[in-house]
Amino acid sequence: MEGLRWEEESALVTYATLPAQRTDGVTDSYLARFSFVYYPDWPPSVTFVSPATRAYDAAHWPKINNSDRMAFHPVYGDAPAGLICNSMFFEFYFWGGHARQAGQCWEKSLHTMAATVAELRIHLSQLYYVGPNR
Amino acid sequence: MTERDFEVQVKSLVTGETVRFKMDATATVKATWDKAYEELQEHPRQGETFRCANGTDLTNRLDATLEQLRQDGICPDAHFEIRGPSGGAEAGA
Repeated sequence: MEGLRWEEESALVTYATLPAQRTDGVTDSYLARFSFVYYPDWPPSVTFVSPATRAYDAAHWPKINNSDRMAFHPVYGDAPAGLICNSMFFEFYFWGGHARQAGQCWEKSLHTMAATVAELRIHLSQLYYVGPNR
Repeated sequence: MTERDFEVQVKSLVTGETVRFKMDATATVKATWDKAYEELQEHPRQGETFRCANGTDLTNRLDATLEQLRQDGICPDAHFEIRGPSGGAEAGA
């Protein structure tokens, strides 16, 4: 995806550095880990990780407001690495019993990881992004 | 290409594919959206929206021409995106 820095760890895991712009113009940076174990049957599994350890860390998640279709949950029930609650993310389908509305779900013959990245970029824009979840 | 033509770029945020094509300045936003589906070899899906590349929703400007958009300072570079529907929890205000 153009405009982002990607680092491939293996055939199934890659990291993306995502900019996030606050309303005051300050730009933060987040490291997201994309796992493709079940892709493209299911969307990528995504979590935010510590840039230092590359391990899931709730303190390195962004915080957003005012979205009608996405929520970031750094900690969510038994989910091992938090939950990005949106239908373009793997975890949406397996944690929390989310309602699946026709037309909004991942279609393996249609969607690509571009749809996942697009949702992240949209929600890390000034429209929704608040700041780090600390 | 004449001065009245627009070099249009449309990216599908559903598939990540980008297409470029020419449209006349008198073409409407809706016609441009339809042409984009043709070029992308995709079919319209309920809930999709046509937007400027900066995210500005054009749902209320579908009957405007590309020239009118430019005059209004909206999408002056004629770069657009098709955004697909998705669902999830609401992030509170």
